[in-house]
Amino acid sequence: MSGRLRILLIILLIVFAVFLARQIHKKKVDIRYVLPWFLLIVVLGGLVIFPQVVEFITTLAGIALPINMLFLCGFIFSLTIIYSLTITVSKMNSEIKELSQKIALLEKKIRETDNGNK
Amino acid sequence: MRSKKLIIIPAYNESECIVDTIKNIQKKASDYDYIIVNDCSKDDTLKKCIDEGFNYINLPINLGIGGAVQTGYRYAADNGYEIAVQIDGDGQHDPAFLHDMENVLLERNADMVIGSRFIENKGFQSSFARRLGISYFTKLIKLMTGNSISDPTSGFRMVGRSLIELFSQDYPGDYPEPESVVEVLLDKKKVVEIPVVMKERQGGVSSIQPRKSVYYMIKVSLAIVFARLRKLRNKKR
Repeated sequence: MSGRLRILLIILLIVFAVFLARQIHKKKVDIRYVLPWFLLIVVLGGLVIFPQVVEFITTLAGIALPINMLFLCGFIFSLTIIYSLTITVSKMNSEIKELSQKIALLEKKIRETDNGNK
Repeated sequence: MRSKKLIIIPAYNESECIVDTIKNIQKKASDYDYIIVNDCSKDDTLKKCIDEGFNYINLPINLGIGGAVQTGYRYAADNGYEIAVQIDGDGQHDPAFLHDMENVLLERNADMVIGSRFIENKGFQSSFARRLGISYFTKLIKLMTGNSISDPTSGFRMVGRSLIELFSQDYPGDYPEPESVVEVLLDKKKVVEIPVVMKERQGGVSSIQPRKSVYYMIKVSLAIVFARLRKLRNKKR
C-alpha cells in the first residue's frame, strides 16, 4: 500500500470516528449499537497502521493487492454488523407485536370495566 | 394512608426469594410503601406476587434492570413520592439500613445515599472478579468527577424527589449503576455513601453473565467518558 493511500484511509477513519462521537454526544444514537462500528474503525485502523499484517494475510489468502484485502475485511465486518442489526430488528418487531397485543387486551378490559361502572 | 417513601424492587426470575424479601421489608420497614417491578419473569415470580397479594407492576416485555428500575421511578414520580430507594429482589439488601439511609439523606441534605459494601468491608463482599471491576469503576469515576465512590455498582441506593423526577425520565439501560452515579455527580448533586452489610444472594441466579462483563465494562466506561465530555461541552457555551 502506498503511503498516500494509507494516509487517506486514516483520514477517512478519523472522520468516521468523529462523526460517531458527535452522534453519541448529541444522544442521537444508543452507545450500545455504535460500539461495533468503533471496533471496525479500530481494526481497520490497526491494519492500515501496521501494513505488515495486511501484507502477510494478503499473500496467505491469495489476494492480489493489500488494498483489496482491506476492502474485504471492511466488507465482511460491515456485513457482520448489518446482520446483527437484522437480528435486533427481528427481536424488536416481535416485542412490538407483543406490546400491541397486550395493550389491545388491556384496552378491552378497561372498556368493560368502564361499561360495568356505568 | 400512603407514605411518602417508596421501595422499588426490580425482580427478574426471583420466585425463590421474592416472598421472603417482601416479608422482610414489611417487618423491618413498614413505614415504607413498596412496589415490585416484575421484568417479565419466566418463572412464577408473578404468580407468587398475585397469590401473596403483593403490590406489583408487571412489565409487558423484558427491559432489563435499567428499564425495570426506571419504571419504578416513573411510578414514584407519578404518585408523588418524596423518597425512593432500590432494594434488589434477591434479598441481598437489608431493609434494616433504610432508616439510617433516610436520616443521612435528610440531615445531610443529600440527593442520593448509596449503601456501600466496601466502607467497612463487612458482610458479603462479592467475588474477586467483581471487586476488580468495581475498583476499576471507582478509579474511573474519581478521574472523571473527582469524587470517590467506593461501591459504584451498588443497587442499594436512596434518592430524593429531584432525582426521582430525573431518573423517571432518563435512566441508563444495561448496567446502569455506575453511569447514573456519574451523571448525578456531574450535575453537581450531593452523593453520600454509608456502610451497609449485604447478604449473599438468597436463592435463584444472578442475571449478570461473566462473558458479557468485558462488553459491559467497555460500554459503561465509554458512556461515562461521553457524559464527562458533554459536561465540558456545556460548560464552554
